[in-house]
Amino acid sequence: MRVVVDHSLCEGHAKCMENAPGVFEVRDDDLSYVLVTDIPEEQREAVTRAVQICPRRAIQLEE
Amino acid sequence: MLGCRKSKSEGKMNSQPAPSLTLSNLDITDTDRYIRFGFPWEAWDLLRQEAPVFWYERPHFEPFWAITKHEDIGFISRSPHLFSNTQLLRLNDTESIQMGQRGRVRAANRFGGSPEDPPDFIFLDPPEHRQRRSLVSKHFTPRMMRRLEEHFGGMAENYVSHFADVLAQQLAEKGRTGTVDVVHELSAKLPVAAICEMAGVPEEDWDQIFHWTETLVGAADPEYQLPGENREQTAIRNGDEWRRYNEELVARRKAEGLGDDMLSSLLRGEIDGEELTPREISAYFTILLAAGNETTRNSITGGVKALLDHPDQLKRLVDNPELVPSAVEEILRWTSIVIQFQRTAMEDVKLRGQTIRKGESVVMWYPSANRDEDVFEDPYRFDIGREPNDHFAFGGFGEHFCLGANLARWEMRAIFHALIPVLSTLELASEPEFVPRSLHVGGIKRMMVRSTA
Repeated sequence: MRVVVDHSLCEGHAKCMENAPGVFEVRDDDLSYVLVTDIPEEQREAVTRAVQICPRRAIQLEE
Repeated sequence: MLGCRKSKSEGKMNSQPAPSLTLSNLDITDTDRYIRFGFPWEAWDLLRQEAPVFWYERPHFEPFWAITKHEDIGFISRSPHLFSNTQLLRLNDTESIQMGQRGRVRAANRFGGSPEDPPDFIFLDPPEHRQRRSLVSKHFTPRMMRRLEEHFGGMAENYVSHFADVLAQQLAEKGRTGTVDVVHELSAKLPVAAICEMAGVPEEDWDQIFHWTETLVGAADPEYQLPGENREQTAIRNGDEWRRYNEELVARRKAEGLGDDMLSSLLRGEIDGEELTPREISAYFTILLAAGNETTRNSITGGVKALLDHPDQLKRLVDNPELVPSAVEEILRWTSIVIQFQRTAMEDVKLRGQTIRKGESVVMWYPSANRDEDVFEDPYRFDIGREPNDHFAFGGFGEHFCLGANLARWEMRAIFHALIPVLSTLELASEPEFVPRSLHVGGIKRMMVRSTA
């Protein structure tokens, strides 16, 4: 499972990083970056939740 | 407004006058009813249960699809390619729509351009919307909020201590007859100060700004009208005064040099290599100040009422101040201050078996989404520890998600945190008074309380 952040939508609300800190990192440019290429099994739930609660709906899951 | 007013069971007696509510007699658009009976919770409940995508036809309104389920509002909100902002944005009665159209003609005469031009950037879809929104979005990130935290936190404590002083003074002078208005002595202060400071408005003008934004929403209320004025004349006078001030401020900022405030960001901002027009800057600035003032103020007032109405939850908060963040989320869900936004279908869309035709309008009823029993367990229970709490108080997520959500959250946390020592000595002295004819924001214009200690 891969995850992608649409930087034309992302505004750095950082909900993803709060929810899955090992996967997302919001940097000083107020954009969220994905830290891992393949989401580990134990992080799937947190990442799925991050997709749901992103206020801008900027995160996409790709199987 | 009345999100905070009554729980479902408490409200049953007086919240719907009709003996039996049906799809053909329910009414969710009559603002007089909102003032008298509160939000139409029972009507929204019935719609969610029996007709969640409902073609609503009533006198004085262009027909529209009433959307009442959380899931559907979420779908529409994240599909700006299917549901456009460019036609109609907020449901209004036909008279208000005509008034708005005359306003667009006046704006075009004054600033140039066409009455068809979008009144402000919220009336745009991506990619144009995204370009304009990003000019100021960096001012509202959690990162920015953290930088302002200490400064604004001190302001919140000062405002709450002012409120406590006024309460104590009233109690000392008049005993139980001494009452204080929560709206003007508490709720209004931090939202005005925070948004004005971020926007770059000098402190001596804050009271005036507050008056302008209040009148923008409340022009139908005789209280905001000068003698002999009608609603439209009040709105025009108010708009003219505001725009004159805005132009002076722009001129002054340009002369003094741009800073790191939002007005400077707008003046510096370019879209495809071109500066914003004076009309765009004025409209953008209006939206920032009005949205920053008219929502958070009502949410704070509604939150005070919700806590006073639920003494068990109030005690829980006083005993567990670490619950402030989740209490704020529950207050946002409970009060649901923004009632609705509207979209127009760009193509035929099937939703729950109904076909929404291209060109038809949909109206998303956020308070209804915030009581959706498929999303919230026991939705009519006010629970300051509710988790998860995926409410739509800031809209249904996506392209138009409230830009100021982080600021609003931060302001409410600061105020309720500072308010904890005061809350247990507060008592409602009268039911809140609501702003008339507002079908967009549930505005509370006054709510009197007294101190019991």
